[in-house]
Amino acid sequence: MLYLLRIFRESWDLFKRRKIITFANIFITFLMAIFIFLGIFSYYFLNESIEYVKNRLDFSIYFKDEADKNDILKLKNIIESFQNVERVEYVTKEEALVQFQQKFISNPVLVKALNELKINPFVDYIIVRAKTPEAYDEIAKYVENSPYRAIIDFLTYSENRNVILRFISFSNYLKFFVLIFIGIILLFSLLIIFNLTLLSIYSQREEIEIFKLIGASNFFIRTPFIFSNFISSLIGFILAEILILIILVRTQSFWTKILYSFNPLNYYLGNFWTINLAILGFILISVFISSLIALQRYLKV
Amino acid sequence: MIVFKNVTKIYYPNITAIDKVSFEIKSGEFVILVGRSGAGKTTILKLIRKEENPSHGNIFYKNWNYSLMRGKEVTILRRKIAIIFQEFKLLLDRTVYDNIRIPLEILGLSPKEIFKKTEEMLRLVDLWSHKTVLAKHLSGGEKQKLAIARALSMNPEVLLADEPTGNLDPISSMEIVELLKSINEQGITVILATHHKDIVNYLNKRVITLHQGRVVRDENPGKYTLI
Repeated sequence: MLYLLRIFRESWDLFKRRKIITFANIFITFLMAIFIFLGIFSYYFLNESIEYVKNRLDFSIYFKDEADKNDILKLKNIIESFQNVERVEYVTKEEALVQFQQKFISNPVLVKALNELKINPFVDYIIVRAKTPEAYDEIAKYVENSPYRAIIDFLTYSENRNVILRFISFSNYLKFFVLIFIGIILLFSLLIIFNLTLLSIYSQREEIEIFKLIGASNFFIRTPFIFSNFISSLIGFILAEILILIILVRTQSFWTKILYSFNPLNYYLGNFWTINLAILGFILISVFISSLIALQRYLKV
Repeated sequence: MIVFKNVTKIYYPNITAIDKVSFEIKSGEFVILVGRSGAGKTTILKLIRKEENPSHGNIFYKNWNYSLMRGKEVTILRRKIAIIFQEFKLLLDRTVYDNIRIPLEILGLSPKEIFKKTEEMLRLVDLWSHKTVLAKHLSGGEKQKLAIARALSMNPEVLLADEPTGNLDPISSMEIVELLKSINEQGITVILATHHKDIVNYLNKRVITLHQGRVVRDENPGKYTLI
């Protein structure tokens, strides 16, 4: 116990004495934490944006006026049985009329024009919402070739198809690039941490040699270096977290304005431990491995 | 106590530092290694502390065969065989007190024992009044005294001194020599590597003379003679 306490004291002492190295360690860890968070944040932002747009994707099947309601219900059941279908809503022409009237209740010109028609100009239709954008193509193909094609007037999918497919392709590319971006950030973080650790240990090489000289074990020499690097990394990380939290609180309303469902602060607080343990874990493991590799060279006395 | 049997050390690519060196040093002896620069004095000291491994031959300390020693045993060996250098090798950014305290902490002594031992060692070398001074602010002679105090604080059985007076003025040099002499009188084996003629002749102890990595003379007591 006393031995461990001494190692901790040595670590703290090392942390205090290596002022420039300590400052550089704190600063670099601070930047790394910010960059890693930006990577996570970008991925989340992209996912949310894609989900937001996806949730607005659907297509409707409009039926001919003479279509039998039983046939429409049969088709609805068939589409509902598809694996990737999230929801199928059947809107009768009567319901469509009511919905239209309610929507445009404040527009007397439209309501008057509708009343003057004396007939219901709407038709029965079903709205299909799939779990993935890719599923729309599959459902549309089925509907186009089904025995119920005769009662179908038109599908809105064919009008939106290109937009949907482009969106799918774009979102997949974007996700891929964001993942590469995060990977590059992690790689650079690792290299910077490694080089900084190497530099900090290089600057202490004489001290390491002296410790070996006076009979210190590798554990006694290695641990204070690793711990003092941990302390600086932890401080840099905490500072970064404080800054991130301030930015998230201050920009909360801005994000909500851009994208209704997007709230990075809620996301951050909701995943507080996962995000922070992942970032801190990455930094500390990098520091640990870098310190071990860098120290090994000077411990071979 | 320390036995060299036909020890050869060849550095890469093909530099022979010592060649078939054999000698035995008994416990409590004061041995002086003399020779020109590059004669192999420092190599012998490094081999004794197992900072280097011999290319050929065997080294023994008591009943330990160096070729069979591993990590932990080497650490223990280095605690038993302390060393001081011409360039002191102190923790310069630490206080005089810390330079003694840290090795004692490594040994696992209690805080009370550490304080007692540190005070004893610093008083021995007359540096107790400087205990709060940073080591870098000491004079050359004081630095070497501190290095000796640090080495002694670990209760070594052997003290190796590699040109300890090389950076010191004559008065400081004599102070260090007297200190080494008194340390030896307390029963600690001292091996001094030097090319300081006056010191060798003054000490009147066993002298092993090296020339181009070979032992050319081993006399007890011996005088300074270079080949």
